[in-house]
Amino acid sequence: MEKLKIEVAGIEFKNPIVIASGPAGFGDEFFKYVSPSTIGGFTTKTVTPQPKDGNPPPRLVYTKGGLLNSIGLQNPGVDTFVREVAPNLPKETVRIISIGGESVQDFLEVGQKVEEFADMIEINLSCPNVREGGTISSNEKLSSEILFACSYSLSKPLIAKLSPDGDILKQAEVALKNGIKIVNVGNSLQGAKFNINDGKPFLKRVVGGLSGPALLPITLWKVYQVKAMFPQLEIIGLGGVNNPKDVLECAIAGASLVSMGTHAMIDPEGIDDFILKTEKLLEERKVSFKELVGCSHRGGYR
Amino acid sequence: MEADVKAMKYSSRKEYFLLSFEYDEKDKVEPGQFFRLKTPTGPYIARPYSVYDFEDGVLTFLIKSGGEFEEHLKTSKKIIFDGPLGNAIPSLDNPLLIAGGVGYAPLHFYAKRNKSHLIVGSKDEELFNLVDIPPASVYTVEPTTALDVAKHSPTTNIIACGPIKMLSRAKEMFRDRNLFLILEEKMACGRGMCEGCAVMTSDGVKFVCKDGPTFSAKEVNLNWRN
Ligand SMILES: Cc1cc2nc3c(=O)[nH]c(=O)nc-3n(C[C@H](O)[C@H](O)[C@H](O)COP(=O)(O)OP(=O)(O)OC[C@H]3O[C@@H](n4cnc5c(N)ncnc54)[C@H](O)[C@@H]3O)c2cc1C
Ligand SMILES: Cc1cc2nc3c(=O)[nH]c(=O)nc-3n(C[C@H](O)[C@H](O)[C@H](O)COP(=O)(O)O)c2cc1C
Ligand code: FES
Repeated sequence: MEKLKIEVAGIEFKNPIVIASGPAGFGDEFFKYVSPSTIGGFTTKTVTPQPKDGNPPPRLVYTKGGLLNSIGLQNPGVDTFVREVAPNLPKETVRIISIGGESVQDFLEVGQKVEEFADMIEINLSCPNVREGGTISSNEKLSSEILFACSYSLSKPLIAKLSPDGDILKQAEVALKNGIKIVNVGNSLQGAKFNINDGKPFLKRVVGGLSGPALLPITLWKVYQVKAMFPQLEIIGLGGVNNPKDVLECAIAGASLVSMGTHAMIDPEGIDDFILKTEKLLEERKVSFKELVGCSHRGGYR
Repeated sequence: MEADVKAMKYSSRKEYFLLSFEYDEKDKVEPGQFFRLKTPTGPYIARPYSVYDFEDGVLTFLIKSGGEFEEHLKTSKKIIFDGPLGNAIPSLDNPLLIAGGVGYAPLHFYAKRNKSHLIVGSKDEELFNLVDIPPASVYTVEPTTALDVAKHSPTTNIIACGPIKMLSRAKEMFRDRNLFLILEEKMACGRGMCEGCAVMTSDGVKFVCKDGPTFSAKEVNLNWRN
């Protein structure tokens, strides 16, 4: 597995495959199907200061090549998380804890409480399913304040999770300016579906987050743009990855880590094989994952 | 896991079909449990279907036509499946089973294995030409009349499966009975990870795939959905 190793922000990943926040929950069910020692990293469902029931159903709508979700960040709240979930997160994989909230204070409270259980912390600025006024990432001032406060107060490596809606370069710039060295590109893309029989939206909030294969080209272009403009940022490529080839493409575009949500959720048993196939693709091309990162910006393979 | 389609039998106007394939029983399959099904060409997210029958190593499902899964079945003769998932319907003493439409699937399997009485309602008569219905059962082409018929039964234990409106009405009508509802929500993981198939209960949010699909009617708050 030598060809898959990579170090990001001083943290060793045995491979670049990171399970995305949400679709695999807090891991209790997921790790019945997947050994933590096979995956590079695991991101928890987003944790907020208070427990959240999430949105009333329907929470899912099937679309061609994807899925619309409107979960609404259901989670038990940070205190229960720290007591019952965080201590059991497996140490055989990089533990990334995703934190959420509405205000600077919320993010600091959750970040400080979870820090001792995390190898990295992901700041979720981009959930499409909770705020009436749009995602936090669409509010530059609030994003800046949250990222600045977290950079200042938290000691674990931080990831800013950005939104594919909105200007990705602007969001990356805001992250960088506020001390963030890793960006996740990105969350689910806002979308809707309407019922042609009753003329109503399928989701109560109308909007949901689109995930799954339909997103991949969008992800690749955003990763590429961010790497071109900010080569010093480490990028997590997320959105639509569903095939080992996609992992290579994300790296070629500029991603140092590659994340999967929906695919890992619908086929957890297939992840071992997915990682083996990724390694095989690298071996066939006689490159390591590390060498591939951003190579499209350097004229491709040499 | 993968299997070849063994049979796909449509009702006369193709509104419903029975789909079967072989399954060498690694885990026990119980009435009330479901499998996630798709084909190698799609849909992207496998769809959950309750087991209609499991006999001699053959699993059968009763499916309403018109969805993306059926579209793929027209060209693909392989099934990719995952299961059994979810919990069994509790064993009750001689319960009354009330089914609406394809909600008959899990109750058919239950009735085969447990002593019970059955009332099936379906708007579409052709359902009755496709499925087998145990002797001495009642069936009606007006789904809500299934409930009205049930009202006259003195049975304490009732299990209902069908459209959400029918289940809400059953909950209203049978407040003083020991009623169980087999619920349906859109699912993605089918294993209690994604939080997609939420149902509100007296004990907070639970998931149809992991905690159900059968719930005690007293426990669930169906109004949260509406
Ligand atoms: C535990 C459980 C058990 C289940 N058991 C069964 C079972 O035994 N039998 C069964 O038939 N189902 C069962 N279901 C439901 C099943 O999982 C599918 O949701 C159902 O078959 C729909 O099929 P599909 O997903 O392929 O259809 P979809 O492709 O999601 O389409 C569903 C319907 O919506 C229509 N549609 C698509 N787009 C629109 C639009 N824009 N506006 C209006 N209408 C639209 C389609 O034409 C179709 O009629 C169960 C569900 C659960 C959760
Ligand atoms: C069911 C579901 C729940 C999700 N929950 C969260 C969440 O709690 N926090 C978060 O940052 N992203 C959440 N996401 C977004 C994913 O982490 C990911 O960004 C998105 O699904 C796109 O990647 P994919 O195509 O690989 O799934 C969720 C996505 C899905 C489908
Ligand atoms: S389908 Fe994922 S929690 Fe039920």
